[in-house]
Amino acid sequence: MSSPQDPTLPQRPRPDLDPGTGWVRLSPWAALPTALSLLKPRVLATAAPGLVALTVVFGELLISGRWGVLGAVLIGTVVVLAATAVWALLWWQRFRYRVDPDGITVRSGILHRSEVRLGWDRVRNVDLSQAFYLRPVDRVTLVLEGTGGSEEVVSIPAVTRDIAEDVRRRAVAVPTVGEADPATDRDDADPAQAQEVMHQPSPGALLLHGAINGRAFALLLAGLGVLYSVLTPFVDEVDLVQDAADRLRAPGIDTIGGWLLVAVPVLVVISALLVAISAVAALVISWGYRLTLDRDRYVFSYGLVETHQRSLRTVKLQALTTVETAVGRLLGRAHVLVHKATSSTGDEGDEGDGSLLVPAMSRAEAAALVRRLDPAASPRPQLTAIARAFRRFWMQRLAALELAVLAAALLAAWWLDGDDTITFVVVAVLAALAMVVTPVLVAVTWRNWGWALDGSVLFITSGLLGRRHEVFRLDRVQHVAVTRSPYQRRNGLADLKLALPDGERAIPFLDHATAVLLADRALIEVETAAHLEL
Amino acid sequence: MNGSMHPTPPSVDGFRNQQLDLTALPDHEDVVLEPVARGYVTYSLVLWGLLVSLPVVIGATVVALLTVELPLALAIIGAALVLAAAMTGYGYLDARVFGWAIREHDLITRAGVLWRSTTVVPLVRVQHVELSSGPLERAFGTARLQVFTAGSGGEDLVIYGLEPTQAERLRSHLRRRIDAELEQQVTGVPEVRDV
Repeated sequence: MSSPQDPTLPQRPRPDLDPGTGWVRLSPWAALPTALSLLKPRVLATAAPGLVALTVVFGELLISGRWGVLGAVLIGTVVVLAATAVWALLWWQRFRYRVDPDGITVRSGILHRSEVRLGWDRVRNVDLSQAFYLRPVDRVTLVLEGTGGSEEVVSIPAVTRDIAEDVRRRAVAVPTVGEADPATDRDDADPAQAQEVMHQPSPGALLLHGAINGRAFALLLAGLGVLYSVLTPFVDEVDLVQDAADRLRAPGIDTIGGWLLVAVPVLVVISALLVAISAVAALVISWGYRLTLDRDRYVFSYGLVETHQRSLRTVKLQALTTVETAVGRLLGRAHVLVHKATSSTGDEGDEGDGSLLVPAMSRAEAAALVRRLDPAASPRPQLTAIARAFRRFWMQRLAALELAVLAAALLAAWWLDGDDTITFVVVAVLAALAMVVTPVLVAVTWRNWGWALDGSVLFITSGLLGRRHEVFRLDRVQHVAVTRSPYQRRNGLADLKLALPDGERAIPFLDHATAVLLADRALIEVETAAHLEL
Repeated sequence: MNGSMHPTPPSVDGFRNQQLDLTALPDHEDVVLEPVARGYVTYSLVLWGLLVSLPVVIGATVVALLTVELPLALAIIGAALVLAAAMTGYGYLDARVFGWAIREHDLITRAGVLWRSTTVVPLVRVQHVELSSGPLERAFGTARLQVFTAGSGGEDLVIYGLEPTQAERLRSHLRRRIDAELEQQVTGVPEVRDV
């Protein structure tokens, strides 16, 4: 796994080593996680349904009869799986990596080949994860994040644990560019200070977290949407659907009361099922969750099917977000997102933007955790509201839009004067209802917006029914922007946008002078700060 | 930075820790901005007037003449011409509104005809810079400089309409700042700044 001149590595024969070059090929096991990552839901939601739909259409043309739909779907699935397998094998065949005394180099790519070189002094984080199917052979996926963001991420699947641990030791033993003292990362650091548990939720708390955060809802709805769009052309041919429709039209349920008797229990059962799926999914993903402080590193360990161990140096924490969902607020539950500089290595443990999730805690526990993660971020000060013009601006524009929809729907209903009238009447009623509801929603949203500057720490709170409490130090800012729409220029207002290494934070509808003052304050903090750890 | 301070007692051994007057902090809004190079205004007019608007007018003319009666076709063509004029005007204003400035510690741009945005990137946060110019920009003798910081997906700031020599000078200056920052990180020698 390394160049021949490296004396610290075992000098035994290596069948995976290209002779004389130091380049190492991956184990064939690596093709499996690669293939599965290609089949992940986000890929299925885009490329795969298109391919399946095309195959269904051609299959239906080629094969007549009711079994044709099933056969075509089967053909489509086989095509997708075969294409994925071929792609994964090609990728595995091209992949090489080389470990040198001063860094690691990876060559990969099928159509577009690339070589990423990452010096140990540029490694920001090292993550290890192990999928259940790689557990019997004890192979792990190693991810090294460089300080250059998403362009500097090296992921090596299905390496032996020895190799992964060796690479991790090398990476953490060298200080990242600009770091003060890496001594605490070395193996000879005082073990007495190691491993302080900061958060370890019970399985029940994880289930509750999953139930109230409901990530399965969006997934399932997306899945149903895709399924619906693919199968709609063939629904008429399926007797089962026709049969169900006939039964629903049977005597006894042809009144509104009858429909409600059928629809309400069905909705309740589906909702309960979705909540249960979400709860179990959270339990499986976050099984055995543990956040520990290991010397100067936060370590996030979790996972049942795929175990993860992700670490973040304490000085590299960029920002914190406490999230309370609408249901979570009712139950006094929250979770915390620990933001690091953005990378492309999103997985189940983060929110897709590189942040690390600390799930399943009470509001008080979340506040205590934020206090421990960043003592400067506590206590949360009294917040200042944004300008009242926010309410006026959105109420006026939404009302105008709803009025236009209402007028158009009524005109269409009057013009058509036939069977289609009912659709436009329903649209008109919905638009009228929206005209009543949206002012309330806008007012609540305005009331929940707030910000406060305490020393060099900025607090931002927002939300409609739930709440997001953002907190970060101004010296983390990468750039600032003050933007003004024509309306805001007329009324002396502005939006303030602060780009952090993990993404943008914004405060809308500030008084212009305040926005400029906050921007200038952020610039002062950045320009007089010590080097920023990423 | 040269923020003004409240009067305070004399310092001890050269150390000072005076209270800052927030209202007197350097204001990025006060900066006098550099306009884009003259060639960029022409570039913008050509881009919006010919490459964007002309296909709209030609497309509308062809479709209108082939599908509807002459009076309606003339109305559609007229509307397309008005739209093209508006887009060309937008291109001109967009170039005229854009401005940029470099201060000791940051880089500033102001842009936008309707939604006006002032963006400031502190030089200590700049990770790398890219100088680029498309064929049309080169034809009008302008280049653009993209500035990147850590973590963001794309560039944090773009300065359009630079003259090539000006762009190269600016890039060299930013490169020197980045190198100096890296040197300071490696050696650990703190940079002294006036605040």
